[in-house]
Amino acid sequence: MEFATLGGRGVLSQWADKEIEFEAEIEFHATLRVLEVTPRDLWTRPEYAPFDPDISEIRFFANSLQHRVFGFFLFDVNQYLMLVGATKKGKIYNPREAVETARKRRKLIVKDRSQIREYTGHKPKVAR
Amino acid sequence: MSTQVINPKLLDKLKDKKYRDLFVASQINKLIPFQIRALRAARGMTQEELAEGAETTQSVISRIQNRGAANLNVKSLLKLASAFDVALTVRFEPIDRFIDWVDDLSPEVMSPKPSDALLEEIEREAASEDAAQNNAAEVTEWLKGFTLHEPVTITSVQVQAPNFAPKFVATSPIQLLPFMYPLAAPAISVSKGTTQRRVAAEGRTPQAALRFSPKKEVA
Repeated sequence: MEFATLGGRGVLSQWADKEIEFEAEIEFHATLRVLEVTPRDLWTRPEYAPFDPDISEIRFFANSLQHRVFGFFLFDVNQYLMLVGATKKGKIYNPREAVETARKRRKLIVKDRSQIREYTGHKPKVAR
Repeated sequence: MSTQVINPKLLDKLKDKKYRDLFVASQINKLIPFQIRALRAARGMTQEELAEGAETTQSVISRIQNRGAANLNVKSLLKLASAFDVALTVRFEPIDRFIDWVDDLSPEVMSPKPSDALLEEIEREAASEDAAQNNAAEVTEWLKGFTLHEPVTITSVQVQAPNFAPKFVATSPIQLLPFMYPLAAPAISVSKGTTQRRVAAEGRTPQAALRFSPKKEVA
């Protein structure tokens, strides 16, 4: 699942399609495929790590850059909600405010789940 | 019923040769380590145990699992396959079949049974199937005892599973549908056109079922 703008556009779809190189997009989607079929309690490094008590990160490396997708589990529906994507150089994220954005979006979702949509970009096959 | 097709977004991107090449490489690089982890978990093997079986070191296994399989050669893959006692497929494939493969990451596909256990299972199944075929022949003979108002030709007998109900497929205006024998009371479904009736025998044997006349049940 991904966070959606008020207009209904998925922010991770936008990030993967338009804001990162396609090497990174491919790696991102392969990482999601692996996590998707891994039981939640086995989500570990190198693909996943907790970030702080509220949010965690999906991790992958592409084009000589670390990439992070911040999100959190919606435990009641057993889904991971991706909030924002970023690249990371040293301790600097691009966009710089990625962590703050993730926290703000998480707060929004905890109150109201209307800004959520399914993410299907990583699926090799979909129902016709 | 919906069918699965290649994700249209992916299909569009795969038209680019560079994207295609990177896509294939990335799946291999990511999915082989994933499968190694899945197989290790299914077999209860530590990295050390796998390393020993594959004639390598624990640090190499750790590196594959964490950094990907990009630098693995076929010889190393064969050693890993041997350590897990599974076969290894390395071949050139059309892209659509490759996508089928990366689409199916089910536990059955990612953690195949050890060849040793699988071959024994196949041998046991073949023996059970022979026994079931004999059983099916006996039941086919028995079905001839039914009086139906139109002749039924049994064209094939399918054995669904060892010791489980044989499935009879008959073609004619009257069709005999799955019939339970000998685990439960024999039952026969008879259909004509769009009308179907299910009749069940009271006993547990074909002989007991002979008390029925499916003819009465057919509309």
